[in-house]
Amino acid sequence: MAGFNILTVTQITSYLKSYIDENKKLSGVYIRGEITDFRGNYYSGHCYFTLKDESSEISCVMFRSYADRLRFTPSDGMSVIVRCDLSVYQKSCSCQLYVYDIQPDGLGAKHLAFEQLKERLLKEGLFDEGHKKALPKYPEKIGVITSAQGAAIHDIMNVLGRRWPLAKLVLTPVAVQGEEAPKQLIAAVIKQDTVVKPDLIIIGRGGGSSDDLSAFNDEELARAVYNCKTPIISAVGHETDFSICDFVADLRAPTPSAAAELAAPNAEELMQTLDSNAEWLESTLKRKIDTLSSALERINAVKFKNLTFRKADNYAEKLNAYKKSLLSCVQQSIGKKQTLLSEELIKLDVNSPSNLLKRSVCRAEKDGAKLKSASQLQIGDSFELFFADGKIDATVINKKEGGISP
Amino acid sequence: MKKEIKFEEALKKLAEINEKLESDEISLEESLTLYKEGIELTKLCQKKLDEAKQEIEQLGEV
Repeated sequence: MAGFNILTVTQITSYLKSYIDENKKLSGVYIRGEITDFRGNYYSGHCYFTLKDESSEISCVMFRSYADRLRFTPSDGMSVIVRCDLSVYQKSCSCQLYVYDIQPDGLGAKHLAFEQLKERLLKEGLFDEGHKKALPKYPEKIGVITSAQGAAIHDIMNVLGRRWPLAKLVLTPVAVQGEEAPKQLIAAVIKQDTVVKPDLIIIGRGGGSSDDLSAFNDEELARAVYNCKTPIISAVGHETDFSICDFVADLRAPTPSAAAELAAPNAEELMQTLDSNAEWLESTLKRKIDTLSSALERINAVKFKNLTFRKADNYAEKLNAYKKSLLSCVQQSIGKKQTLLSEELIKLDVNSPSNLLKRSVCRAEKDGAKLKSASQLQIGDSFELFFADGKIDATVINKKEGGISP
Repeated sequence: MKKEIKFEEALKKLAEINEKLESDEISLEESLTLYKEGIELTKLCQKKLDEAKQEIEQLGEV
């Protein structure tokens, strides 16, 4: 074999490796395929899997530093596009793909990550309606977490300045996109909740690409919002954008302006309500006074009537009594007078000539009946005369009618 | 009337006053007191709204 250039195994595999590595066409390539036999190494953090299509397959490795950046967990059967370099694992001279990034085929990786995180947090209960806090109706202090330079803060100030100037705004300025954004957002939520202690927090930003909005899909931010004791409105991007932060917040607003509208009532409307309230108070009081005064009148009337009747009855009774006593007085005095009169009369009678006559002479009787008048006797009638000292039988011999004087 | 009463509290109180005033069980004296208080509160709220100016405070770096 002299004259031949004899190589070692290592040399040839090394040559193959460098041949492949130097080929620019084989680095930074995008390859579409289906994941099978996916294995994540628990200790090293590296991921191993096979990418295949209808007729071929190739081993893939994704080192931990890249795998950690994945926003979703790859799994068998997933159609993906991987960005990778083709290289050789010298130990077994196996040709394999060194993967930097995996994107779900047809669906953005971030979208998938978003869906997976959403699903997970939903199952964990972070979006539960029961956990959502009621917003204060009339906030006097509103915390705002957004960029100091962005459109969102101006929109919020505009809307609240017009609708509800009563509220004082406290802005915690944060980066709303980029590497630092999630950390700052989380810190701002905690600071607002524990230090600023507003009645309500608005967190959000204006519209942007889905990458720009991705800070609001951070899992830790979601937890911070969930744990926030202050009611929180999330307004990220435009109406069509949904973020994890939106789902976990107590209320999702389609835009920052809308968040400001949802955060506070309209002062003008409230003014009208207050006006009508004052009127209402007045009319209620008036009604009350009317009711009371008519009740008073009614009571008075009844009482008065009763009193009058009672008084009248009293008077009538008294009058009756007076009448009675008067009558009896009169009767008494009449009686007395009558007695006196009759006594007088008796005296008078006793002293009258006829009585004197009667007393002095005698009593005449006819057939046992006392004679009182001459008319009782006719000529020829016999009668008796009783004297004090004896009795005489007599006969009428003559009669002359009319008074006689003694 | 305390000046530092919060707007929301004032409104809540107003609602309570309205309710009480509607009931037949309170005396005229109480009604008058409530009415006065209600008007005071209404005025206070109106004043607060009238005088309110947007105020914004910016906190430092978090």
